[in-house]
Amino acid sequence: MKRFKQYQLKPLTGGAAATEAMRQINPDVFAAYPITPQTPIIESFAQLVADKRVDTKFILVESEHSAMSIVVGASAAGGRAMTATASQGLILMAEVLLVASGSRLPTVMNIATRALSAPINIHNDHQDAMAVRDLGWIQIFCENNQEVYETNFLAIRLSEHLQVQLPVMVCQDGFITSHNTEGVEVYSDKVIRKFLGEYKPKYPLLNLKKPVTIGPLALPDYYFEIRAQLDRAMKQAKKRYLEIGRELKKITGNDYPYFEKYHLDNAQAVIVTMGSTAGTSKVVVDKLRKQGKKVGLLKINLFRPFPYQEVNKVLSKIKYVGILERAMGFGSYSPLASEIRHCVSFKQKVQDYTFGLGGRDIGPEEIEKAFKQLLKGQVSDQIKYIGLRT
Amino acid sequence: MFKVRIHGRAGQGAKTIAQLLAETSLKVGKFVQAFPSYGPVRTGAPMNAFVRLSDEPISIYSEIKEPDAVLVIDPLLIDMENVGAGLKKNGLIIVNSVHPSDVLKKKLIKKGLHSQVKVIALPASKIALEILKKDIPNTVLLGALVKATGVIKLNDLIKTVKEKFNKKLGSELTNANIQVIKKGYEQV
Repeated sequence: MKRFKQYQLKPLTGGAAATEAMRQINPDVFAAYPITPQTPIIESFAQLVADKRVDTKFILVESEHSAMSIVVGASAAGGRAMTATASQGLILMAEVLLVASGSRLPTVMNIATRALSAPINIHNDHQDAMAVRDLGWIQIFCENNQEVYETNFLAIRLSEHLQVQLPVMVCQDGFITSHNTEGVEVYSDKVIRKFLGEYKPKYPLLNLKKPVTIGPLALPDYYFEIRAQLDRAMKQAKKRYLEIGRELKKITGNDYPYFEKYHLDNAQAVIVTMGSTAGTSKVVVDKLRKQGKKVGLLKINLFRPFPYQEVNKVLSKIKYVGILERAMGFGSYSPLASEIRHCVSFKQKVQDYTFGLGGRDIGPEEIEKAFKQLLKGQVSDQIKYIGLRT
Repeated sequence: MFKVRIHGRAGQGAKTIAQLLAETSLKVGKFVQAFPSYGPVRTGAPMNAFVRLSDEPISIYSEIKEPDAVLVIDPLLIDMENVGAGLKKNGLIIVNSVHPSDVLKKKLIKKGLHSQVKVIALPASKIALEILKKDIPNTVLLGALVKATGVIKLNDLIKTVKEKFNKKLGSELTNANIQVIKKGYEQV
């Protein structure tokens, strides 16, 4: 939250913040299957439906595979369709996630990120979102509940933009924000609905005057071109993200950059991370800056499409870069580290840190320790684990 | 920043009182966080709830290791975990216990509690059983916390309780809860 206005802030968990956004979006269809820690979203949205505060057709399904299939069908028909999930649910959806993106169907899905089995674990990390990062979905990561709420609106517009037409995941940290009550500034329905506008799909399946085929067979003669178009749409998404963000700023006063630069000026050591840990890192940066230490933070908001050139620009002068990631690459760098390593030169010293798997708490002390290692130049190409018992 | 850690068992309403405290503070212009930390995630298992209240925006997202105040809903937890961990001089711990405060304090100090932490023992279960006819001691402890710290006003808290509980529980149970909070408040 960047500023405090004497507005009535609503006490909302991150899950409820996503629901509050969905109330204002008022989608035609919401299909979902409950899974921890997405449950606060589906529960509170079910309440809205029961109270008739939305016109949404709420379809309870027997699995996430079906939830996404219904979203695909509803979106193809020309409706605004949404869902929400986490962890195993997201993985079970994987097959249909590709149908949504490959068929260029707009939708927004809220994810309360969580660890993957096995062993079974219901707590937070980013392995679920990272496992589906290359399936043609736009992915935006949120630090706090206010961001979750506002990002949903940007996501709808981005998803439905005619040059984009791609599905979007709005990711927040399961439990850490999804179950955490914060004050959220909620904007008026009228203003938000004007921003969202009516969804006018170009080729809805139900337009009988202009019949189209969605999901056809495409063999070596066409498949490649269609895939290349998807990639072009991703490039468009990068442009439109900033454009739509500027428009949303007129309502909220907040910026929607690819990434947030926190004290990067003359910084020697910078930590790159995503989600709620960026918030904790800010506390550490503030403390160390007060002690005269040149440290900073780069918080990645837009993970897909990834803003390589822009990240390169801001990191190119940083001597020591530490990447803090809540997921693993198993035999590779972690997913975020792999991207960041594309954005730095060989002269720069880069250290990967993996932390917080399966919900292990990370505190400011541990982030401070990482900063101190970076400032001393203690970097290697081996991953360091924060909070791992040895 | 004012930080509270609540020790309870899943189902005892640790999250509910964290929420009440945060929502009441939010209304008077504070920045707030209230969140649970479920370990094994089943009813009856030990869990924590946390509250942060601040005049400045809160950006930290980690469990509270150095609380200003601790509430213990289930006294049996004292033997299972270090409930006073991280409490410093002038800190406060309020425990649902039938033992006198000084006896309890001695026990907690043996377990590593800082000797200058204020210990309040309160027969919260007894009060809850008398008024609510159920062993739900959470709101008693919240009433005591409000009196002992003044971090929110009793009247503001009662307003929040009315708003949140009336719809869910009906006016009779809501009033009983308010009575319980007041009783906890008066005990300190």
